[in-house]
Amino acid sequence: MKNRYKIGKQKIIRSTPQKIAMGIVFALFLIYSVTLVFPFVWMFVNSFKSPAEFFGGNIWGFPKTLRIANYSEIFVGLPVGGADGAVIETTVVGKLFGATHKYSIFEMFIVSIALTLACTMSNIFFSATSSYVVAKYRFFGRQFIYSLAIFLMIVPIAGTLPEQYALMRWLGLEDSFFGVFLMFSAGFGMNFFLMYGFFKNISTTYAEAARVDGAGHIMVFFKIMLPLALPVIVSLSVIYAIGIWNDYTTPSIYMKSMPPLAYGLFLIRETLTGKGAYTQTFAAMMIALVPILAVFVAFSNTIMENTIAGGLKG
Amino acid sequence: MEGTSAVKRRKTRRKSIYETGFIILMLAYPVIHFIVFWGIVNFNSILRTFQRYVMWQDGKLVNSWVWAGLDNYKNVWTSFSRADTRRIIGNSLGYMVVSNFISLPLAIISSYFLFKKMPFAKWFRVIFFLPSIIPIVVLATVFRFQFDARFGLVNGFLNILGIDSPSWFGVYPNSQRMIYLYCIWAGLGFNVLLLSGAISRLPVDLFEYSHLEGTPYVKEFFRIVIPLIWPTITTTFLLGLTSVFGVMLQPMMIMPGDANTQTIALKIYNSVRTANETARPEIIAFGLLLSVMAMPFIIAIRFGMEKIYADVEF
Repeated sequence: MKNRYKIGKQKIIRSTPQKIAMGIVFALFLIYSVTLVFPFVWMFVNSFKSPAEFFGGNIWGFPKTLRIANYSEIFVGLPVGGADGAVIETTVVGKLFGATHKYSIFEMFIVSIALTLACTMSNIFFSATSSYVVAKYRFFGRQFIYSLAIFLMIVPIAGTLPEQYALMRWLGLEDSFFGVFLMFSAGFGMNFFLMYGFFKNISTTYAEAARVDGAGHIMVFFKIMLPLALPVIVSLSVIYAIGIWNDYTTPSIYMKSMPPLAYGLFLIRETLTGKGAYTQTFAAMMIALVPILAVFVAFSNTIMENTIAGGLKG
Repeated sequence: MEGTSAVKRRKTRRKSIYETGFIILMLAYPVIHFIVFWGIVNFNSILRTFQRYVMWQDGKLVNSWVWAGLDNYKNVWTSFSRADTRRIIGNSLGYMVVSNFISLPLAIISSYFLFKKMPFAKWFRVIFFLPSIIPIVVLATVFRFQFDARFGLVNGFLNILGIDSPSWFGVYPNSQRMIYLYCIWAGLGFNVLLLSGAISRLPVDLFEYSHLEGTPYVKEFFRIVIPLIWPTITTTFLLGLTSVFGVMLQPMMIMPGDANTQTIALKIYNSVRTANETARPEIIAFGLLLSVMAMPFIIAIRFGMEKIYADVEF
């Protein structure tokens, strides 16, 4: 913060060309911001209209009567066609909530929450174990592991998805929650690097004191290092969780019969817009936005500061 | 004395065994995960490109893989002269051009102005960041609705001005251009945030001197900002290069099922969704061959960009 460009609280004096440039850019930013925000406001307003009112020409005005059913119908349940047009049978989660042959956003929420929690916790935990050991211990192959992790980050390899799917099918995990959980529980990825940087720079004083008092390696890691890393872990968890929550690709391949929200929303959109139920589509979109906006409001500083300081540097 | 040193040695050995055990314990799962989900998958992918799938042989159902030499690579090479393959590669390269030569410069300029104490800069940052956390299905749907022939905001605005709306998504290459536009619209904010983070880390003294001397914005931008945030620009540029192999959700969400707007990654993804065993080796060869062809370019560009300005650490 101390490096931030500030000239106290004094008024910033700009030359005329600078004022003009600033004015033009400000106007452009304003227009861009409006294009980002206004469509969502429009969608929100229209999500309360009946199809008759919407198609009757009231596209820009406020709804004459609020149709809350757009939300309740979506939330409770709606028959959703599968990827191949077939109706998806209910899942274990569906059965728990008494569903028969329909999917509801509520069920998708449950799946999404479970998937996000499980994947985030496992990924962060295994990234912490691997990065801690590589950063703090000297052992044979340490440098190789670090270099390999860098190589994986830099080099894009296209075309391996079919064999990944074949492997998952061979393991019997081509359509399962556990399969996706397993895939995301990796210990060498972006989180590895960010935690490696943290553990590399952290002082070993506390750990050494604990070792003198007889604490073992496991005790030091769980009782000293992990609590010290808690702020980093929370930040990375929030950012990673948003990624998992919004991930469409993996569930669309490996969780076809148990879609979480990001994938299920696509199925809902295709089904509803195919029937011309636009206002219900808008309601579905709005429902999907609520949790992610709530998380953003709660953690906006954490998310933005970590994105800024994420170290995107060559 | 001898006794004491023997006890010490035993203790050291015990400590060493315990430490080794701890390292193995901490790395076991991440390493096994890496071997299974990266090592085996990549090995199998390479192996598969030298094989072909045989379902029937001499009137019998065999369902086996047989050696095919370089046939798959030859077929892929031949396919490069076909219009559909060229279109796929062209579309994919287009994302790199859009990302690196339109979106990135816009983001650098925007970040600079946000840094220069633009009014409401904090609000702009938050609004610009929103697309990064919103599910792509929602974002793409919002974007499409803005250009909808009947209800779209853009068409409505053009109608007010008495301008006929073109067929935004109806014909190629208009549809492809619209997807590129979506990428700029949705992706600009994230880059702005990353780059404004890099600018805010620069030493404040430089800007204070520059301000006192009345340096114009253009000069300050090209002489101070660009050279000092060059490492971040390089990394963002390299990420833009890898988009050639990574972009698939954007065309899938905006133009679902449209063959004209396919990309390399989408072609591979669709092959998995259709689970076509016979086509699998060729699809993998297609991805791997393009990755191998691109690798020298990526390394050369990285090397070249690093030479332009000296590396700086802020």
